[in-house]
Amino acid sequence: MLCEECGIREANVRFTTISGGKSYEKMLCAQCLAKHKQELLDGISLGDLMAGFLKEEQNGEAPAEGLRCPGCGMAYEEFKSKGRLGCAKCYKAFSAQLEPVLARMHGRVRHAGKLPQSLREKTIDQDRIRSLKEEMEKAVAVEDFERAASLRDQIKALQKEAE
Amino acid sequence: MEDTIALSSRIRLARNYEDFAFPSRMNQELAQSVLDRTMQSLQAAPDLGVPHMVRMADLSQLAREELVEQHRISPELARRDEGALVELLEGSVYVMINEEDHLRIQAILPGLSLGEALEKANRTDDALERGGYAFDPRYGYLTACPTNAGTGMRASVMLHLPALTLLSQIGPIIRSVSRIGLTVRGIYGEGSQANGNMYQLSNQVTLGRNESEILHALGEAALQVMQRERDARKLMLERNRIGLEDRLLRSYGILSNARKMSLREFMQRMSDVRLAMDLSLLPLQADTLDALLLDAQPAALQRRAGEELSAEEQNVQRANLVREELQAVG
Ligand SMILES: [Zn+2]
Repeated sequence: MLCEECGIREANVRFTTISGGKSYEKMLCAQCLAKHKQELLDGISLGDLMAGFLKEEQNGEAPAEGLRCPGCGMAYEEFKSKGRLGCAKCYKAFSAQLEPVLARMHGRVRHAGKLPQSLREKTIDQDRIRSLKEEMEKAVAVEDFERAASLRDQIKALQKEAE
Repeated sequence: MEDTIALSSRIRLARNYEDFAFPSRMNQELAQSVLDRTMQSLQAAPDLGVPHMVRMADLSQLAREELVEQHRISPELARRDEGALVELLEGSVYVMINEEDHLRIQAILPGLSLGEALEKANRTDDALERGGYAFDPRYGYLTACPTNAGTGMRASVMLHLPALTLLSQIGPIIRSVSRIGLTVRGIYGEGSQANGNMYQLSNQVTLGRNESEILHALGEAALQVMQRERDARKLMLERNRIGLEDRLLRSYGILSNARKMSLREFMQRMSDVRLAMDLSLLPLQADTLDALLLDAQPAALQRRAGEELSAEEQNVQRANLVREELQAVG
């Protein structure tokens, strides 16, 4: 069957999510599914995770081709040959590529050490939000969109409180 | 038995300012801004001592090499004209500026004293943080090389392991510590024979663990390696006391009398003499050996001579220096 969203490409995944407290189902193509994943994550501005899915989305294609850091202009290819990043923004720009690298180097990709003074007070709420985000990341990875959407709502509520 | 197996402890924190590209992508103007900002923060923290900045550009090649020999700067900083060094807290903290990262805060203390070294590095770090660090809640302190991200902390203990080296036990130790995220290297270049049986035990993982977890694991591993070295020394004494004493004291005889001495031979014989001191065979002070170890390195010899020396000339000068120093205490 054709994708229920674009009506152009062949649908090959079942998509389930929550909207307005009700769950619903659609058959989608890979591109439209990716768009939904993106929206889900964009909703809570999850830059680092988002990039993680960009990679998954492109599935096998060279995901770093033409990728450049907007901060310093470094190309990902250049980082790969030198092993050194160009600026702080490179971490975000290349996060999809860096995550597996960091995981191989360190085992666990989540800072657990010292924080700059300005961040020390805010951490408790942030820790809770972070662990919910990780759970959501996992839910999206296994395409359990229902659970992901419910986690998203919890995160939003916490973020509202924090403000 | 008082021994000097743990020679020194070092904490290095890698930090970058948020709004500048990392040093490899900076022009001279930005490099200057990094220096200015760093000095401003330090001047606002008088408890760290009066900051005095030394720029690499103002130093001769030889002077830079000597700083490398003293472990105050890295070979990497010595190569960078835009680099600089600031000494704080009475010489226990050195800040390298514009190395691979904007800031490399290093605290170095004698013996096994990782906690104290971290405390000094942290004090300096808290003062420099005013400059606005590049930090991400997920990746921690952002560094030019992702191997340093997270805490940005490399902690290390320098160990003198002559008995374990002689019994070919270093390989197994390297393998066992690598399983817990630690690594062992010879301090004067990897695989180099001229390392004087000195090794650096340090953490490899910087992300996903906090500073005290890392220091705890490293400290425990250091204590275990030190105990194994003591056991190895005991074993060697039990098996062949005369043979060991003879060998160590011959080295002392050669150091006190030779007329020329290569760096490689010097490092090996100094290791023997340090072991003889630890075993109470020689009435020497650790301070004497530590100072001599630095003064007899190539750049230090040449600075003392006031001119460049060929390898052969260095060997003669080295032998002269060693003879004087050892005879003065003997
Ligand atoms: Zn960049």
